[in-house]
Amino acid sequence: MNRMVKAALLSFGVALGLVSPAWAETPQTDVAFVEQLAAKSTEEALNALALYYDLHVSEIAVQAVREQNVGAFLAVERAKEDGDKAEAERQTALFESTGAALAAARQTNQDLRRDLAEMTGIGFADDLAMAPNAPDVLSPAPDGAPTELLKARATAWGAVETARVNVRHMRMKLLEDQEAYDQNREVKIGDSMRAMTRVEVDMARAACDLRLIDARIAAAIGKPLAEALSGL
Amino acid sequence: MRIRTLMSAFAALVVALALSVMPAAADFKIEPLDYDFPSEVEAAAAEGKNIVIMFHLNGCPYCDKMRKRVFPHPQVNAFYSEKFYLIEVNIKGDLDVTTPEGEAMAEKDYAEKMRVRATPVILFLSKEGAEALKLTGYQDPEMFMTAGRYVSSDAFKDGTSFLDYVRAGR
Repeated sequence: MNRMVKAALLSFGVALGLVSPAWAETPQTDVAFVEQLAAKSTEEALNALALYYDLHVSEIAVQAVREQNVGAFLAVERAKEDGDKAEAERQTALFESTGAALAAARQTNQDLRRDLAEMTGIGFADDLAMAPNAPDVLSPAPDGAPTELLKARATAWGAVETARVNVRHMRMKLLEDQEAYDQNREVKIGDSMRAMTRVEVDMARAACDLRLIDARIAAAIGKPLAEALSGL
Repeated sequence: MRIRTLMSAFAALVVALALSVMPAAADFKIEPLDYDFPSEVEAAAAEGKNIVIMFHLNGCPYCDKMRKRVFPHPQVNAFYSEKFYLIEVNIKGDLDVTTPEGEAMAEKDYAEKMRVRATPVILFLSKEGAEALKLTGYQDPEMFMTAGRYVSSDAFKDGTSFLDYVRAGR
């Protein structure tokens, strides 16, 4: 049965209360994810949420390593064309090391999918297309939030702000490099595209860390996780 | 002539219900039967839309990133579905195409004519089929949205470069 038909049947089933939401395929948002964990304890839900965020970050991290690997492959080809033996050897070593890193990153990704499926009973076969966002402005922490979590929240927000600045800077640099590349081909545009993905990894990690801390604060004060996350 | 990824009303309804559990589709991506760009431009313009061409290469990680992480982005998908149709061209491909200028050639020759080397290259066409904006390389969702606004608002027609448009925060 193809995915569209399965999703259609599943959605109608869920809407009509005929099937358990735990049959659902990969939830694309953290709110959808925690809503499917209603039968779990708060601690179990938080543990699963931490893994879910790790999977989001892993998705873009795999992309980042793949770009490095492909970039090294192309650099080997260019060096061979140029007859630059030393550069070809250097890039070949880089291609091999990034190839190993790519295999490891993919394995981590698969392990996360397996662990999440085992922990939650939800299928995680699909790609996660978009890491959760961090809020534009940090809202005041709710009353009663534990001190250690407030400190962690402040640190996580600092990481979000740093990552956001880096993404904005890299977005503009990439655009300027793209314009320059179109004019004279002297800019190594691949370097900029790879750097863009690296800052996207950092942004995803920072946003996920902040959201997990807010989820932990919600759990500490008895607020539903979905409510806390949907407010971010 | 084109085959569009159309969903029935039934499928659209259930997909709407399932949005939070499935990756959204890129509804603005179409697969022409004959890659006759002048007719695609004309058909799109009749709907008030522009054609976007993505020149891609098999195995290109940045092309995959556009497909996996940019096109399905909810804001991108909603905006582009209203304003654009996107068609992919393989820069090593042998399919026959008719370029927007009306020349018949293989898609790899069209890519060479457009001086495509690094991929992806995203070529936005005006409603008349002229080049409105050409971007080389990956565009994140925010930049891709800005590019869409630049073209669909006809900002390119007054001589404003895309770089200046972005710098002005428009």
